[in-house]
Amino acid sequence: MTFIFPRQGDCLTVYDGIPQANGVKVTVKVKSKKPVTINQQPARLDNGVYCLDILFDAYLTLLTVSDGESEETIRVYYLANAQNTVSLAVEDNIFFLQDLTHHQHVYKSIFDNPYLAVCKEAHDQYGAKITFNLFYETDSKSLTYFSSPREHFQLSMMTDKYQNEFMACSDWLKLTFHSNCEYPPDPYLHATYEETAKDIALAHHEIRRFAGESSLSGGCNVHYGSANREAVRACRNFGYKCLSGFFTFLEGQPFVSYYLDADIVSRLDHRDFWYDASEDMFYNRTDLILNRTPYEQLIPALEQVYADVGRKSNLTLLMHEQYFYPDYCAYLPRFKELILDTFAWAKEKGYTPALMDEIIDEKQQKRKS
Amino acid sequence: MKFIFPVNGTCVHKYDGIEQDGGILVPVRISASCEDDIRVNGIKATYDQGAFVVPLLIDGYRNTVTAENLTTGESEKIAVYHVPHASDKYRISVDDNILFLQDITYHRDTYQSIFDNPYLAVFKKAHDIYGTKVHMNLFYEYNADAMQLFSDHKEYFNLSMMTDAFKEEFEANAHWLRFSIHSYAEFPPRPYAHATMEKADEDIKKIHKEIRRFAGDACLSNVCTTHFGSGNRGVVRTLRNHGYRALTGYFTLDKQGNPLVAYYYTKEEVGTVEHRDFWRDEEEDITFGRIDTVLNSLKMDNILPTLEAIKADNGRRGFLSMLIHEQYFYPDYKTYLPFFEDLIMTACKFATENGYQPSFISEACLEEYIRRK
Repeated sequence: MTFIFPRQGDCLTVYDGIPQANGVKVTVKVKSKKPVTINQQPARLDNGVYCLDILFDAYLTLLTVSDGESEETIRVYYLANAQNTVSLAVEDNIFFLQDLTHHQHVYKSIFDNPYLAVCKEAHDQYGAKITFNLFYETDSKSLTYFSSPREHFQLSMMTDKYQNEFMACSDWLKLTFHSNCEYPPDPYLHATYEETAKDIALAHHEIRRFAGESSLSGGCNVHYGSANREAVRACRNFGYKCLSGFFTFLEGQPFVSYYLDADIVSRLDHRDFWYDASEDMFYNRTDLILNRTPYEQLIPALEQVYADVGRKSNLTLLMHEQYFYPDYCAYLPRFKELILDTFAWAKEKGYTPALMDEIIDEKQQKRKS
Repeated sequence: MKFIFPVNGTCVHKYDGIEQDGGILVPVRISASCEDDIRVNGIKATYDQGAFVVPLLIDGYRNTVTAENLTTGESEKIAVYHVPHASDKYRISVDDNILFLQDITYHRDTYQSIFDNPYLAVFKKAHDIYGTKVHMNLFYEYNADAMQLFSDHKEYFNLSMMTDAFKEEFEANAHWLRFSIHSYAEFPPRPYAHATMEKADEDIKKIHKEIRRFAGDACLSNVCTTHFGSGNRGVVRTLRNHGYRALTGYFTLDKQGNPLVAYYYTKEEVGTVEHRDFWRDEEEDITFGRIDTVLNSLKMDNILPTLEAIKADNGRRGFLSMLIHEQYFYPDYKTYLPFFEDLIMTACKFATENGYQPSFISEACLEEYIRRK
């Protein structure tokens, strides 16, 4: 007996079946040599596959298929709060915090910082909700990509003057661990649990200090999506419940996909979310990297995601901080437009901004009964 | 090679080790041949008194513990949970509830408050004096079978008949008084031992609908004790599907040596959890909690020795979970307990004097209530 769809850890959306008032009716398909029951109901044989229409209207459903002699159980999630949502994550953040610190006696608000001002504009116009993945510090190699001289900075140097303002904005602006610094790449590909835990602890300590507990996100993008199982266990131990990555292939190999193997990545490549029960962790497919998308191709690229039924429910967008700065070697003059126009498109398509915590956490889901 | 303690799903609290750096330094014990080379999360274990031991810091909420036998090549991975709020906490839970709702409905035009009901007044008194938090598991109906045990309560009642006149008051007290499903009715006993998922689904829906109607969403708990702790895996999956995150039971053996009020747990499995407060079933994604004592089975003169005995059990002393049943409150019940109120008040007084704070089980063992690492 093998589940064809859904499979272990799948996170369903309304686009996986026929939308119902409180959920989605999905045809569960099982391959078996003998007749089976699914959750104690007999399945029908249809073109060599056993099928049963099941209403998924709860956060977690355990599906058990039985042929009378043996059985198999899988976990299937229905993430009601993911429906038609748009999430923006920004990676490699450090410089805006340096700027806030340098201007702590000048800026009245964190949004006097020009980079954060872009995000605030997206929030004010479209209700954007944004997660900033932070480096702990700048490194000398990353500074060479800027033409203007930049000083070393680390989160321990960040002013706490704006803690109240960060906290007041924490319903739409979240901060999270990314990695210690930009180089080397793939920092947690071969890291130990202890090495990862040390970096997370450092970042969390400072985020709490300068932005308050409520600013800390339950989701993050680890730098390069590079994390072996031990590193992911450290993330989970520190309270992360969802990790975002590309979950696609580059030259035939899983790319920005943590430890997930090719089989899982090939499934997640066309899904919004997937749950790994072995590590108690959700994974989220990043749909579009805005700084890699030429402005002229932005809308076609978004339309392409929208056309992928498995990915269209939650639109996860990614941007990197560096591209905002004119002195960066790959500066994007249309940085702001990429963000604002994306949210404008999303709004027109009926997407509502959401944070990963809102999508993933069971406590934030409406209970079945 | 096998984990002795903790095992997969164990929830540890401060009595399981030494408090350190926001977590608990727990002696992880593993059985293996004394000549083997055992590593736990990479740390070499030492052989001591018949087992390999490694002190390991368990903190945050979820911890992955991996044991490797470098001699044989075996490895095993378990999840261990740190539940800091499960230490020095207690609750009162009450099973078989239905008659007090009938009484409130009968007196909706005379009662100014739900606590004018004499039964609820007992729990309000415990709450006012000790801050006690009370969980009530509800029947959907009171029927002819149940009436046979009462001389005066002779009228049928079900939750759909319950007045909603006091909804606001229930909501205002949801921080200490919550409800959940128990079963459809008192008889037959063990209703979910062999029930289908469909039957469980029907019962849960019916009861939830009424709780939300007459008491509001905030009063609906995500923890329950099913009647007789009966629930095969299909039923437990249905409870989980309806949002229950933790189930409580006795998890001990009866006089015949069979699992008692223990859902689908086998005799052997009960043996591994009988001396614990909480543990998680990783397969079903649900937490189980051990009910420590059934107050209505105690005499007044043995309540304190019983509670002292629980306190002396390190694995159970963290969270004191005390149960009583509604029927014993009523003078017309065939085994009426005239000292019902004294049992409650004595138990709450003991808990308070021994440093226990009131808590719901959800607050004690769910991740969302635990400060992030």
